[in-house]
Amino acid sequence: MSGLLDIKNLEVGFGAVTAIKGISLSLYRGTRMGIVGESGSGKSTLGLATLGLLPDFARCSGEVLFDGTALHWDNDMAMAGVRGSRIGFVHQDPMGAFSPVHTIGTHLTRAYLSAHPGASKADATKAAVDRLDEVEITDAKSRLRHYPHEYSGGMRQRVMIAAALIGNPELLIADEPTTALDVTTQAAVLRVMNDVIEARGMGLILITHDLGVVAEICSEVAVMYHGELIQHVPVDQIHEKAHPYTEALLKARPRPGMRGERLPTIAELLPEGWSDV
Amino acid sequence: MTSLILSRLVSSFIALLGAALVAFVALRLAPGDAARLTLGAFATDEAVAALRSEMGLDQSILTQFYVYIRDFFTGDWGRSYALGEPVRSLLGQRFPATLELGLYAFCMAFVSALVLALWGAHRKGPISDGVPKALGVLALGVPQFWFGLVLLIVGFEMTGLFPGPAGRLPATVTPPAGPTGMYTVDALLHGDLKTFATALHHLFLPALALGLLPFGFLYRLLRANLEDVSGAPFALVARAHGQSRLRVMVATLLPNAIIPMLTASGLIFGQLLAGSVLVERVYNWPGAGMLVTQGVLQQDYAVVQVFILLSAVIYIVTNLIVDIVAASIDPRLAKGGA
Ligand SMILES: Nc1ncnc2c1ncn2[C@@H]1O[C@H](COP(=O)(O)OP(=O)(O)O)[C@@H](O)[C@H]1O
Ligand SMILES: [Mg+2]
Repeated sequence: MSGLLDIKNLEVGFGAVTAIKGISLSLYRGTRMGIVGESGSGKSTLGLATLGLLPDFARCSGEVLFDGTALHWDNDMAMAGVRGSRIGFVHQDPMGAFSPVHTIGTHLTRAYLSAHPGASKADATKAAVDRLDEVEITDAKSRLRHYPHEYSGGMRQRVMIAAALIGNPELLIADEPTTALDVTTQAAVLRVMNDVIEARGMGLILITHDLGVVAEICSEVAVMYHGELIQHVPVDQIHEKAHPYTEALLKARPRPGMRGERLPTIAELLPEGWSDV
Repeated sequence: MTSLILSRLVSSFIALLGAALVAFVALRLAPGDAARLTLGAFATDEAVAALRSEMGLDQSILTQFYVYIRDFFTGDWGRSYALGEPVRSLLGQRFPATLELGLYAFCMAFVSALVLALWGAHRKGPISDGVPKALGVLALGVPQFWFGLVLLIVGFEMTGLFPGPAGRLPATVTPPAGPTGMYTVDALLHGDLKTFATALHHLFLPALALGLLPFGFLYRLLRANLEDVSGAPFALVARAHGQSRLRVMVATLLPNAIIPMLTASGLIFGQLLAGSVLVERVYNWPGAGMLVTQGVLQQDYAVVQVFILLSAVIYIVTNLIVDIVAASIDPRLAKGGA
């Protein structure tokens, strides 16, 4: 059976760096997968490659099937028909992800109209208000006229989720959606995101380095290390069958009552002689 | 927005007074006596003194400044002592000629810089990027009058596609009557398409010669800014929302990249008006450039002062427009007011 998303032998390089070293991975409809790994392990590259949004100089080989059909990354028009309307994307930087000279309403209506080319402006505005309501932005109608700098970081991140959902995609790729936010805001944004995804029965790829978040939201977890997929298991099995690297990741997390202690680094936690998979 | 416009109007007025003061003082500090220069070395001292008092030169500096400002705004622009004609009638014909040339040069430069920068940023390639870049380098390195001569040789002498250096219209065509003094505009206002086309034909080469430098500058500026913002996360996110590359370029990146180009445009347009002398010379364009150059050499106060003030008014109005357009694109500018 083929999944909603099938990544086959994906390999991505930037100049001399190979960021993704032959990854194969399937995600089934309604599955919520967490992708974890330290900075530079290739998580963002994996998400962007799927959407065909890597910079022009990136080398990319392998194949990604969405709903059984191969994605043609160099065909911009074809990809524009997939992005937003079939696969949504949430960027990690709520500051930079909005054009500072356009209103929030413009961002949302443009996203809507890209996914619904024939729709009217009024439909787009209505959808924008509904989506903002959904992510719990109060007074949505008047806030559409505001500019990004008039929104707080947490609000912007919720708007970004709203914008990613406005095209009614079947899969959401969220790249560290809460990393730039403070802890309280993080929790609120995650809850909102979780609620809408659950309500729609959507697939989710949640890129994060926070295993706690994965445990709360995801059904599966995939662990990346230096461009390779080293483990992919149901989330409740992560402790039982942990790969040495995953174990190190787990131990490197702060725990309650750990006061005045230094957190160990991944390198210290890895077993002697362990270098590659 | 209203407060932005108000604060700009106030600062414009101060800038205008400043420009007037500089023009006034600079000319009066220059060595030599305007009355003496006008009448020549052999005039009697009495005749010179009489002219000095007629010109108001025997009044206090402050009174002279006051009279100068008052007269400018009441439309009494005085008389050119070198040419013996009222400044109003001298500049009344020549200033619109310079303004029209400058406007066309500027519009050609702006539009081609806009289109080529967008094209280059959209399709990075040896032709789409290389050709305009080379043109830009050429524009910044080649003297305008030289480029004007080359255009004349190619466009007129070799191919005969364009009229020679014969001014704004052939002698056989009567210029359209008022109201702006810009022939293409007046011809259109009178519905005279034939004269419009002829005037446009005459404008093309000098406007191209004058516009190359601003083109090079504006192109490089916009191209670099487009490159900058194309790496911004919002460019990626707009594409992730399903917008095509081209649409993102035009609808998202351009408004984010164009403000420095607009600001520069305001400055460049003023520069064009003041710097068209050589091109006017090459094309026998009956503009204000020659008149004013001569006026400076002969200390013909009236002509030079009025020209400076007219240029300052145009410059200030242009920049006011630029500020308003920029603020309507970028809301942060409307608030900041700086
Ligand atoms: N645009 C790029 N240009 C060059 N190298 C890049 C680019 N994007 C990512 N990389 C490299 O690819 C590797 C993976 O990066 P990334 O996918 O951003 O990791 P992660 O999201 O897990 O932190 C890193 O070594 C990074 O330096
Ligand atoms: Mg990343």
